[in-house]
Amino acid sequence: MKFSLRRLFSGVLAVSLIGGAAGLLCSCRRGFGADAEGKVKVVATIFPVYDFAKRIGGDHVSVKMLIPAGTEPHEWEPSTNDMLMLEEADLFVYSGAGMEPWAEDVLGSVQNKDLVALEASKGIALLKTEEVHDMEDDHEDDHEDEHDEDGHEHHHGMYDPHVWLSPKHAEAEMEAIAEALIAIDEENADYYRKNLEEAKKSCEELDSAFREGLKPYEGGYIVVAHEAYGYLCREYGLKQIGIEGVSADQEPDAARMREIIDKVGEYGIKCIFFEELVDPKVAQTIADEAGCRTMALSPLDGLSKDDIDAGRDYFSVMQDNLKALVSSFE
Amino acid sequence: MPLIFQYEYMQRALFVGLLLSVIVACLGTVMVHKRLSLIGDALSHSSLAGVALGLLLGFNPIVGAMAVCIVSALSIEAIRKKLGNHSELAVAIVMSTGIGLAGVLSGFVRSSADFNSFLFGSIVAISGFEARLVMILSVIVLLAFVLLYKELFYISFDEQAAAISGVPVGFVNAVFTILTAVTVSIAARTVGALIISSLLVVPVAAAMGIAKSYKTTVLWAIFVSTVSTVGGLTLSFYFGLKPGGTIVLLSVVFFLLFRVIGYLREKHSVKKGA
Amino acid sequence: MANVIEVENMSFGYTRDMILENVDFAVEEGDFAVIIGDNGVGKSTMVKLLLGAIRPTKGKISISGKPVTSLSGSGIGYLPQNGGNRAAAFPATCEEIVMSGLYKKIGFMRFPGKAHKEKADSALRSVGMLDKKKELIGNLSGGQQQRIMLARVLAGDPKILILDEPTVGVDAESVDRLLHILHHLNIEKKVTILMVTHDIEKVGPYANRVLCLSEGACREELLPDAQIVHAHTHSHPHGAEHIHCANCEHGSSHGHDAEHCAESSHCGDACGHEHKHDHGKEEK
Repeated sequence: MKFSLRRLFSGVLAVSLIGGAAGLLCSCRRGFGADAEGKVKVVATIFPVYDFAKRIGGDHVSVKMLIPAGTEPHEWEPSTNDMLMLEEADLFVYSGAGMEPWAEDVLGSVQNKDLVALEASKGIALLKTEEVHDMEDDHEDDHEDEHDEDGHEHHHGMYDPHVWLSPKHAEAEMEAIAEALIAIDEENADYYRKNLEEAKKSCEELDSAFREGLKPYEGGYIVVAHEAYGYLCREYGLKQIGIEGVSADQEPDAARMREIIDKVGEYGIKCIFFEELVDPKVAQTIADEAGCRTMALSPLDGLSKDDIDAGRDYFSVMQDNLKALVSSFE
Repeated sequence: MPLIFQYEYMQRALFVGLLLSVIVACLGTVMVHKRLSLIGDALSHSSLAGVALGLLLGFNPIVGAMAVCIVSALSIEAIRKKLGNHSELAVAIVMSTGIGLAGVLSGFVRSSADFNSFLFGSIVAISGFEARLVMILSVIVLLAFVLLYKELFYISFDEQAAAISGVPVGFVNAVFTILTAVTVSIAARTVGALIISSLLVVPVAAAMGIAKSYKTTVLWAIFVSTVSTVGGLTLSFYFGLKPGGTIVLLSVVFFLLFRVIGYLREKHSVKKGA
Repeated sequence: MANVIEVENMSFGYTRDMILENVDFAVEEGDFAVIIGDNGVGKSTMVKLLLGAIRPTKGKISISGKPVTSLSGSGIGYLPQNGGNRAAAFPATCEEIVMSGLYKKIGFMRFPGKAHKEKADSALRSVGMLDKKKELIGNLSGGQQQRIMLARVLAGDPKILILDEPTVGVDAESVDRLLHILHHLNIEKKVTILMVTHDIEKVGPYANRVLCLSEGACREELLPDAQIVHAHTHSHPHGAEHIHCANCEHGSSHGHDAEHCAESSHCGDACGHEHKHDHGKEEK
């Protein structure tokens, strides 16, 4: 038996090595293809800015998303192929505010002198991570100090980077992208302006949908996997309770879980939100304990490939988020 | 009733934690004396490759993790025999293979969401299914450990002599290798890889500092392991510390404490003897 | 008396190069046999072959009339070289270690009873270590550890006892004690003993059969050795009656080999030397 198992193991190893080699070859082709010829070549870091750039640039740009679909941006690092892609590009769009802490290092080592780098969140009034945390609850107990010490700001630095979760800020990011595109490709300035106008209109519609939909629940609490919804909450008068801090990759501690379970009971919260890219186990445990439901709420920083292939974009995901938020209060 | 018992997730954490800390201490005693202390690390890394394989080929990733863990553990056992004095290399080789394989395979998994949800366990978030799985596993491992105690002792002490005396060395080794693999693959998902790979080693190392026989080594290892788990969970619950890290650090405190006690005792007996 | 260990025309090599070639010897029931020979001549390999850890490339080894096929079941007791080294770091009491030697008597997946504990006690007593029963083996001296390992082997009541270099790494007093215990076993309990050693001066007087292993092909050869026989007649009831020079290729055809061997108490050195010497001549 041992022998056949060993054979199986080497078989598996061989297959995966061949697969791996094939995978490497495939990823070599990643980059701007022939159809990008004559277009503005844009590299965007994460899904929101990728989607915005595509929306504004339309047919005149070729946009590549740097962080592959379905990957948690916090865990990502650029590969050599990604660097090659940047050497070819005209515009590099990153959301900023600490979302992509590696962006500056990467830009520093790119040789491409014509590359324009754009931090899309520049100019937006950013929330400090402490503010995000303070929004959570009015009567803070002394646990909070410990929380801040144990590394909530580990990845994101001082600010909450999830600006796009407020449609108004999304609009601002699109404007910044449009400006950058116009500066690079003046010929098509009108085209970009027209797309921007349309997008702005969609943003306003989305904003009013949120405002109306959430109006009855102003001051309500949402329990989320990690505290990514600060801008959304600020805009529409909600309060978030995060199982994790602003970054998503920490192990929960038993005291924090008890605190949340207690609050869920205290405030009569009916739903725990989890994120698709983070293990729902902790959310499920809390929901089981407190006797409520779980639902997905997307912070949009990484959409799964299936969602992207299905044509999901910023607006459709935000509409789903709105539906989920509303139904959590019902 | 103290606050800590009023929450179901804490009851579950304490219960599952206790069961796992007992069986892991038993398995650890065997593995440490076979010079395979790092087998927990190697297996928990290899299990990631199993998760990826399961997701890619469309079978249950837990089954994949378990299968790859068993294959890895048996490979360690096979390589260990070939390497003789350098048996610890077997663990390193299999660990490297596991990490490499997991890295390559995870590149083909479409959504890291699926992947993540099978990689990490947390002792404070255990599902009912996992709790039942750990219960069954604990019964099997404890039974095997008690029934094969004598055989394991002999093999750990002197494998060749054990074989000459007629101990079915191959069988006993295979049973424990497989049990360790299954335990690591389930426990890594249930309570986290950190807890499991540490509790395989540190309590045994602590016990060896003060134990006066093999039997008491096992008992002290179980003591350190369970007290660290319960203590770590309690500290985490009341002081907001990360449970995994707290449990592991507590067991290291026991290690240091027991070594100091062992040292003082030795000094004392030397003085008395002189 | 019947032969309990028979090695017939046996060759072994890990690769194509044979380490042992055409080895032929036999040990009779009740013998105290000693295998001597140069370092690297294949003594330890010979032990592994006798234990069944490795299989002969050619020829046959049988113990108690049955061919040796695997490690288990040959029913021999084995005291490995530097047996205590491994034990030093192992957290077990002497009693626990001796109990493990009772494995065959207790049985697979069964628990030891009172009789087994008494048996372990008597094994400890027979090596004079009963008072150390609850001590950690790591706290004992090298010689004491060796005696515990011997007690473990004796607990299994072996009819044949194989020892690999038991005089290495142990102080002189312990060696004397060990040999005394072995002598007692050999005489009183009729245990057949086969010891690999290079310390023929110490062991020789107790042995009744000395097998000399050296490189090359082998034929069994009788070598009366005045010195050893002399030693035995004075100090011990039965000593070396004869020396079999296994592996001495030219032992019988060249009389001077035998003479050389006989002149030296280090038979292994002499044989090895002579053999190499001859080999060189042939090549010329």
